[in-house]
Amino acid sequence: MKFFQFPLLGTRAISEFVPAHDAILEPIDLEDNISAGDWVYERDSVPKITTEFWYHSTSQIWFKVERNTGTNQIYRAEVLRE
Amino acid sequence: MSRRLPPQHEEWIDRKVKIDFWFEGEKFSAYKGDVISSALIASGQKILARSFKYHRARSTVSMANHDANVILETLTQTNIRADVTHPVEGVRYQAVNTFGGLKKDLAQILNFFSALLPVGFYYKAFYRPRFLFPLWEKLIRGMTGLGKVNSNTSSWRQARKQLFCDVLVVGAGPSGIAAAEYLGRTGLKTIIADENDRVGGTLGYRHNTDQSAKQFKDAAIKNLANFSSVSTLPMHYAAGLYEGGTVPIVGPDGIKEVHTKALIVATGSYEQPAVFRNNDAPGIILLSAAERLMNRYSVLPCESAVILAGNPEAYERAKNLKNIGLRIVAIIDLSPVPKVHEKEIADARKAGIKVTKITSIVEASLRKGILVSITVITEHNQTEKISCDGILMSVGWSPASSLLVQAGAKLSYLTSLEQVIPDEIPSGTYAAGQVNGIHEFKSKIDDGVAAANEAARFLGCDLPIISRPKREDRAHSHPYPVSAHPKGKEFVDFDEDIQLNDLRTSWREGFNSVELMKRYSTIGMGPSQGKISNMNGVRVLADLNKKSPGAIGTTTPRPFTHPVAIGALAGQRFRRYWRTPMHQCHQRMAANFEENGHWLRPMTYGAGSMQTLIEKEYAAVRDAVGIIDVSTLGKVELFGPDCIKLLEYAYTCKFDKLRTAMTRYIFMVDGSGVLIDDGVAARFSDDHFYITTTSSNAHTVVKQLRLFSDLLNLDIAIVDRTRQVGAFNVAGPLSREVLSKITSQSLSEADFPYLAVRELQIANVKARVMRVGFVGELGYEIHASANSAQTIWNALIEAGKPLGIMPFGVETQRLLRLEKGHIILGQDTDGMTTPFEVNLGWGVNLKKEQSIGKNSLIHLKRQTKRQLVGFECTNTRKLEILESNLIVEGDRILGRVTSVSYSPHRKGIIGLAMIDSTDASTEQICIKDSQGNLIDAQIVSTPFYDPENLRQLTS
Repeated sequence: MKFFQFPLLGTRAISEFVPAHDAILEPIDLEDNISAGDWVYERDSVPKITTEFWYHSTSQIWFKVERNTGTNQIYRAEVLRE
Repeated sequence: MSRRLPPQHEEWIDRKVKIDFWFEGEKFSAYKGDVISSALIASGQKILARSFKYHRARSTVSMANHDANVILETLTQTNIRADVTHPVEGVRYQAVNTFGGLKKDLAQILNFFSALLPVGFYYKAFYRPRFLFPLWEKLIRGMTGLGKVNSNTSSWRQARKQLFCDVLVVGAGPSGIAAAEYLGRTGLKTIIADENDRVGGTLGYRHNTDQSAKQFKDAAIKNLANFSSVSTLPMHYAAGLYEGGTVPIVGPDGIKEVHTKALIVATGSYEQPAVFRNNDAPGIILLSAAERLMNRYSVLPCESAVILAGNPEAYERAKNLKNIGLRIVAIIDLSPVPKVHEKEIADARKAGIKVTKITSIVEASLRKGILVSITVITEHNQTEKISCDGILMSVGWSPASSLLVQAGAKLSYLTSLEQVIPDEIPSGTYAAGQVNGIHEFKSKIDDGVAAANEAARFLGCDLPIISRPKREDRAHSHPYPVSAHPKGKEFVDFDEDIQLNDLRTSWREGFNSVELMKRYSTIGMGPSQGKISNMNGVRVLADLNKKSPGAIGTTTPRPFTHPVAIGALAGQRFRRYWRTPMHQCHQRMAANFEENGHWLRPMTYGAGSMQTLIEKEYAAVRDAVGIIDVSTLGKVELFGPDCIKLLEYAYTCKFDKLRTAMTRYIFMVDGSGVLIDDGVAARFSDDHFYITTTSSNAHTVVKQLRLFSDLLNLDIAIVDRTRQVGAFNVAGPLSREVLSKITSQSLSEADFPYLAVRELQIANVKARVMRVGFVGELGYEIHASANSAQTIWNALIEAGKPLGIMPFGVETQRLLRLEKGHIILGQDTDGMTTPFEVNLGWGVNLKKEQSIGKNSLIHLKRQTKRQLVGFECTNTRKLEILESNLIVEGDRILGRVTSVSYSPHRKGIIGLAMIDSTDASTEQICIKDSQGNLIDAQIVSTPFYDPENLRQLTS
């Protein structure tokens, strides 16, 4: 089992979390040059600092997490909605 | 013939306890503490194994599991490493990979054809003609492999443990022990692990004649035992380093996952063999193997030994072994640097040992596969043949630096040491001792202490800095211990029988980098993972490329550093069953439980064949009344003014037409428009809803609802009530009659119509009741708090007795709903199924402003390429068709069966199939069953049962 330091929650087992990489709302209207398929599937896989949404399943709280996907370092986490 | 020495003061054997075992059909004796190899060698057994490719005679090389020459198997176990495994009384061990036994291995003949089996032979020989490949494959697979798995043996599972510490020290040699002792004084929680039966490392076999070393060892081991903050784990090897400081250490009871804040790698180094003709023969071993054999097991490795010296320590070590009974015929010094060993040579000669300076080795001569002599070229360019039955090699070391590299360290080659050393180790990981290029005994201890000091300061201890000892400036490894021979058989890798010429051929064919050469020649890819072959491979490649070994680099040492048994990896089952509130009721009614997602659910009730049980339960529901536990459904309660906003975003339908106190069928898609969940929504008021989800999906649905609510900034409270509420379905034409007996409230069609939801007092318990029809009969789904659900259940059973009520299980429910044409998500749908493909287009509203998956659904509506259809086979009563059988047309696959069963109502086989929608107009389909038989079926409209839904109207 992998343990890591999660800001706000301390040392946690990774299995307590469910990540949703870019949990953005369904757009009301797609932009002209983007198909529904692009919107669902097209992602940039270059290592970078991203904002992700992580669900802490034991407390049922969603967090907004700033993470470097290259080094797997978590810079910041905040409750998605206070 | 016994090679056993008189008792040695550090020996690991207990001479009072004898263990008898069998090896290749012969009986052998061992002392308690012996490993299989030591016991066999003690009895004079020379050949312990056959090599992988050419079936050459082999024995141990390292006595430490750094080679994988001697792998044994028993009837129940494979992969027994004889060098480190204790024999078990009465067990029969066999060598692997022989044809007709170790002695008369028929495949020895391959040794004479080795010239015809060059590197890359398989790639070059068997790819053409293609049609013959299956034949070759069968032949090659029959010839290769290291043992046979007996699939009849019972599974053997070991629980996995989680350990937490401040510092993990890997390796309990001089540096490791010194580090752990230092850490013990700081109070930091420390674990020290070592792969050997006892801690001490080289202290137990190389430095054991040194009084100061002995004192250090005894004091350190005593201290370690006294520190409550230090735990010592012998017989555990570190299998790798994972992100976040997790090191799985593997021992006799399975894997312990150590989560550590700092890591000290004091793993030492693997002694390396020299490469010369026939260097793989039994009797040619590493000097450290001889040290281990003689000091740990008190066994002489051979009668007359030649020491091959490529470094200064060879002399000191040889002298120590001579003192405890090794007969040394000669020391042959291979050192390329003139006069570097002058002092050692003079000392050895003074002690009466013959020393010959040589420039290269011609060959080891064998008789019947066993060593008889070695021929060398002396410094005066003369050929000299020395008779011996053992060659003990001391030509160099390769650091056990895998963990360091996995931590992110770089390796560099230090020419002064002729050794690879770690460089740029990230903080938090520290190297100490021989792995760090420290060879002198006293320095190893200092290095361990300094590493521990660095680790403690890293963890915040306020301590004065202890500086590292200096590395020596003379080499402890020979830069090129390789002597080529025109007739070959100079083995670089023993696991894979790779000869010097194989590497040269790889290089000539263009595989001239370390990673390419590894993959083409398979050097280092055998079970010992290159521990005693990779370094020589690098030296050979460097020589071919005319570069220094440092410029060649090394292959990437990924986890595991040592093979780990699959049983240990699997760990023990650690999954709890969830039981529904009615579990005891089911037990009383002789339910046949099965695992269903997290839950234990009754599949059927009572004894008898599955078919007759289902028929009985089916008849009760269709003709009278049945009751099924559906507590496994996810149950979510929503409060707040934004309930409808959330539901309309999360689900595909509109909720404006759902009236108060009514329910409707709802389903959810993901962003790509794929069906992920379905259930029922009940509206109590504008700001109070209750929804159900499929059994295994409750968590996911709650998770999604919370995300949507957070993102949309909604005013809503979401309460997961799955485990708080018990639920069951009373269904059948007499269900209303039964229910009315235990509630005073009206159940009349007017007061409680189809699809309505009511709060009722049933058996004096408050319950929510929904009139739904999943199984196709008049039915009530009753939800009540978990601790009172049993009361209602029991009351219903009691009240229903005169009317023939029966509990029914999941199997019967599957049949009932199939007749009604209702789908089960995950069975009739897969990870690609859209609502339009399973006739749920009516529940998709695309006029909503915003809902998850809407854009995909707009696109998919025009693109529907598959269709779920019902089929019926009227000509067969026997169920030959299984779920996932294919629908075919000639060679083409049109789709697959998703549900199939015998229907008592239609008196034939019915089912659902997902087929390409271009063929949905066809009336006849052809199903290929598991035996390959073709079965014709008619496409029919669904539901198979009560298409007009008249059963709901009984009043």
